[in-house]
Amino acid sequence: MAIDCTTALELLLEAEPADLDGSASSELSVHVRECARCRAVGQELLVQQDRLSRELAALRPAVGVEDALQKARRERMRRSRRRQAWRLAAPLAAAAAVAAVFLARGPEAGRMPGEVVALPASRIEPSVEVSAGQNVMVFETRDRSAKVIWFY
Amino acid sequence: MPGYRENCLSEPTRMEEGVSALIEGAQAGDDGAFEQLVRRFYDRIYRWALARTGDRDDADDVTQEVLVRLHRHLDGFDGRSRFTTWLFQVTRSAAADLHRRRTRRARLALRARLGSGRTEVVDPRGSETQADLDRAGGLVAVFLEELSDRQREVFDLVDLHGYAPAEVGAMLGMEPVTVRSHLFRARRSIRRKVLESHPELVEDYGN
Repeated sequence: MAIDCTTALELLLEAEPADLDGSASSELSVHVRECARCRAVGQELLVQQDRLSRELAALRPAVGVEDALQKARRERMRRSRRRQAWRLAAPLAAAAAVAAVFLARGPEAGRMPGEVVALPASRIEPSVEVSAGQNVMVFETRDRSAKVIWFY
Repeated sequence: MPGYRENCLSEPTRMEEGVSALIEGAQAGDDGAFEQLVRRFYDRIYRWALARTGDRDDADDVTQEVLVRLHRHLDGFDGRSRFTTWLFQVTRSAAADLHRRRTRRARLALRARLGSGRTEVVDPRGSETQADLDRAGGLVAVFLEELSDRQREVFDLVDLHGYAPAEVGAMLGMEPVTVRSHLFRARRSIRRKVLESHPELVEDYGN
């Protein structure tokens, strides 16, 4: 035997399974095949690892798969509704913010907020074309030369 | 150890068998195929989550989240990697997000307690965990409690499920040498525990 039992025991703590049962060609494996004491240790380590594997496999999720699928379906729908709401709300909020900036920068910036301003009748109405499925909003501003057009 | 070898060496390949048809069906909108896919991998997702988090309650939460993400992101699976590798990454990502949320919540809770003059720190994993571990047995407790996240994942994949260290390295984004280092440390912890509970096996070593 090229290695002694103390060394073998140390090596067994990190060895590959094939070394634990002496079926490999390493020095440790040769020792395990020839030494009953180290072979018993190797066998026990394998038995206990197998037991650990079975005990872990017996740990199951608290929720069964069918209930989990149902729960996931509900959660998906909830998230999808939330995403749709965001898809609608985010551009509107952004457009409102841009419009607010333009309104604040208008030529009559000295006016009080909320004051009603009569637009001149001669103002040109915009004509905006959008592709099918696209939405558009047009915001008037106090600046004659500026309109806010928001595609979303 | 026939059971050990049968369980361990063939699993990665066995799990992939017949999966392509289910994936294609699910990607085409077939709910039945999607559900079959989930049924097939449900326990495996839980086990990955358990190995990642080391906590049964967290593993439940991660598993549930993976089902939602799987439905949303399955279209993104292009078959260039193994499905199990891809699903493993989805699980790890969900576990990482949960961990971030828990850590943030624990930090906020601690800050609130410190602000109110109460300074005790509560384990965010909850009080049932220890009882669960006691019931589960000694080696399971070592696996869940004493191994680091990395050691637990590597040991679970290599020694308990038969993945090659190189493959695990690719899955975890580690060099194979790092995988082996985690694996050896994990084996040492588990095997020391085994020998501690069987002192008769090693009592006359050194004589």
